Formats: sequence, C-alpha cells, structure tokens
Amino acid sequence: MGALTMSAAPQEDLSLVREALAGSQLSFQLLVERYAPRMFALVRHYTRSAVECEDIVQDTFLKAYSRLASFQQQSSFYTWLCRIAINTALDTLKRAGRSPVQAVEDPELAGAGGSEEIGRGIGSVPAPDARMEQEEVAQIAQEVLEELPEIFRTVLVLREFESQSYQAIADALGISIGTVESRLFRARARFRDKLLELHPEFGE
Amino acid sequence: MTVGRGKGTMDAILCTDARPLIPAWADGELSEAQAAPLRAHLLGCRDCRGSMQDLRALHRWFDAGAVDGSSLVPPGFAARVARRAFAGDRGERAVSAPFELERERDGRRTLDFVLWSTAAAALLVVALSVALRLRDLPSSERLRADSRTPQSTEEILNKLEELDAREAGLALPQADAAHEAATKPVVDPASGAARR
Repeated sequence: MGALTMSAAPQEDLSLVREALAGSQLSFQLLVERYAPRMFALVRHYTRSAVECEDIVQDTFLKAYSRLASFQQQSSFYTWLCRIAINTALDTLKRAGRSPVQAVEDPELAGAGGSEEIGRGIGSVPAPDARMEQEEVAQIAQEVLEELPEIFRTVLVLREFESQSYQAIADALGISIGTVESRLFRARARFRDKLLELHPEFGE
Repeated sequence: MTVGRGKGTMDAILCTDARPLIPAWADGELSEAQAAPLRAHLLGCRDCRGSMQDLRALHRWFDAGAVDGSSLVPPGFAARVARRAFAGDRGERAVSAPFELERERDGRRTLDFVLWSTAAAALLVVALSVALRLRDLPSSERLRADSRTPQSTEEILNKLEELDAREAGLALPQADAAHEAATKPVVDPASGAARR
C-alpha cells in the first residue's frame, strides 16, 4: 500500500497546488492523477457501487479544488484529501438513507481506556484459513468492516488498508494521537468479535 | 511520530508495561529507544508474544483486502475532473449536469409544443366561427320583412289574407271592365241605334 513516495511528494504537491491556484488546469489534473488511485481504494470501503465510488471521489476532488486556497499545509495534501473523501462518503451514504452503523457508546469513554485496556490485548484472533482464496478472505473482511460502527471502520481503513501513521490519522480525523491509539485498539477488538459472531467456524 | 509511552531505556520491563506498547510497536509507531526494551521483553515472554501473534493474525485479514487503487480509476478520470473543476461545475454526480440539462431541454420542448398547439387551436376556432357567422348572416336583400317565412298559423292566415287582398286589388279593374263591356249597349254604326 501507499505506492506513492511520501517523502518526495509533499513539496511537489505544494508546487502543483500553487500552480493550480494560479490557473493551471494541468497541475490540478496531475494532482488528481497522483491521488485518485488512493482515493478510490479508500472510498471503496464505504460503498460497493463502482458508480457511487466514482461520484464520491470526483466530488472529493471538486470540493478540494473549490477549497484549495484554504489548504493550510499543516498536514499533507493526501491527509487533507482523506478528510474530505471520508466526509463526502459519509454524507453520500446519509443522503441515500444508508447511514453507517453508529457506535452506541462513546468509543473514547467506554471501558477503562488508555494503556490499561490496551494492555489486556484484543484476545485470540483466528487467522484466515490457509486454503481460502485471497478474494474470499478480503470479502469476509469487508463484510465484517461494514458491520462495524463508522468511527471504528474509518480508523481501521486508514491504518490497515491505507497504512497511515497515527499522526496522519489524527490529522485526517481531527483527533489526538492518544485517541487514535485507543480507538484503533477498540476497533481491532470489535473486528475480532464481529468476525467470530458472523463466522463462528473460525473460532473453532 | 512515536507514541510517548514506555521508559525508553534498555532496562527490563514488565508485562504490564510491555503489553500496551505492542500495538504501537506492530504499527511502527515506537522510537528505537522505546522499541528496544520491548523487543528484549518479547524474547523472554511467551504471553506477550501471544499478544503479538494475535495482532499479526488480524493483519492477515486486512492484507488480503489490499488492492492497487490504479485498477479502480476509470480512463480519463483526472482530465474529466480537472475540466469540471475549472469549468466551475460542482458535479455533484457524474451524470447530474448533462441529465439536468437534458431534462430542462425536454421540458422546454414540451412547453413549446403546448404553446404552439394552443395557438393553432385558437386560430382554428376563430376561423371557424368567422366562417359560420358569414354563412348564417342574412344579406341586405334577404333582410326584407316580407321575405320572412311565416311561422305561426295566425301569421300564415294574415299572409294569405294579404295575398288575397293583393290579388283582389289586381283583379277588380279587369272584372269591372268586362262587366262594363258586357252591359254596355252596342251602337250600330250604320243605323246609329243602340242594341244590347
């Protein structure tokens, strides 16, 4: 994941942003070309419809263009885009009457929280059967993800599929690194529980 | 960025210190100073290695779902989005703008059709009414009262009487002349004597 070389990208991104703001359509097109694959990979975790996925990614870039002047460069362009894409995806699902599952408890307040809870571990996790096809494993993982409250799904997607650092996740979601850590712990524990609930055969 | 917990020294750490660091270590979020004592602990602690194995097992579910996003991007996507952005089109949905335009165009066509049909129908009605009026209106010659056909019995009788009277008026001078001729004595021109 993350084929883009992030160390070299930010400076080039800034140049492209400046050129786009100065009226260069081609520079904006280059930004879209650079980040469209990762945006599609991210948004596909929120919808199974290819058409809806394309609409959300397109809307993400159009919103990004309209707000380009407000890009503060406090985070990377990619992180900034992630934030727009996630909000756009959630808004789209809400408009379509398909709001993602919401956590019934406050994920940051539930349980003991902090290192004490994390120290207990997430419990025994069954690995996918070695005989299973990759596609089948991915399908089950996606099925379980869709059953998780949105707040947990998003943090798992950004970490496990997008390989984002805790800091980048914190920037994208507007939360602290400590919150990212505890939310990620709970998300993993929820994933395990839901996996065993939907597929008890893996726990045997 | 590293998670600011752990002693950060090579001193031996306990399970209670090591366990909370395991997820961050697995995610590559610890500094070397934090990671080194944890690694040392993991080498000698089977339980903590078990926690590490649970995380690895979990990752295998996600590894399978990793895809190259390039295969998901439709051809010409970037150019299309850039064009839309610079054209000021918000493009809420990929097909919304053309679809709305088409609908607007269809609506305008329907409105034009209705307006033209209404105008044509109105013209036809006006033309027909004019034609009917011209056909039914009597000419000045036909406006004479006597040309009017009597309708009621009384009118018919009056008409007949009027006709009789007119005929009588015309016949009377002829009858008088005949009667006079018949009763007038004939004078013999030779003798000069009158005879009947």
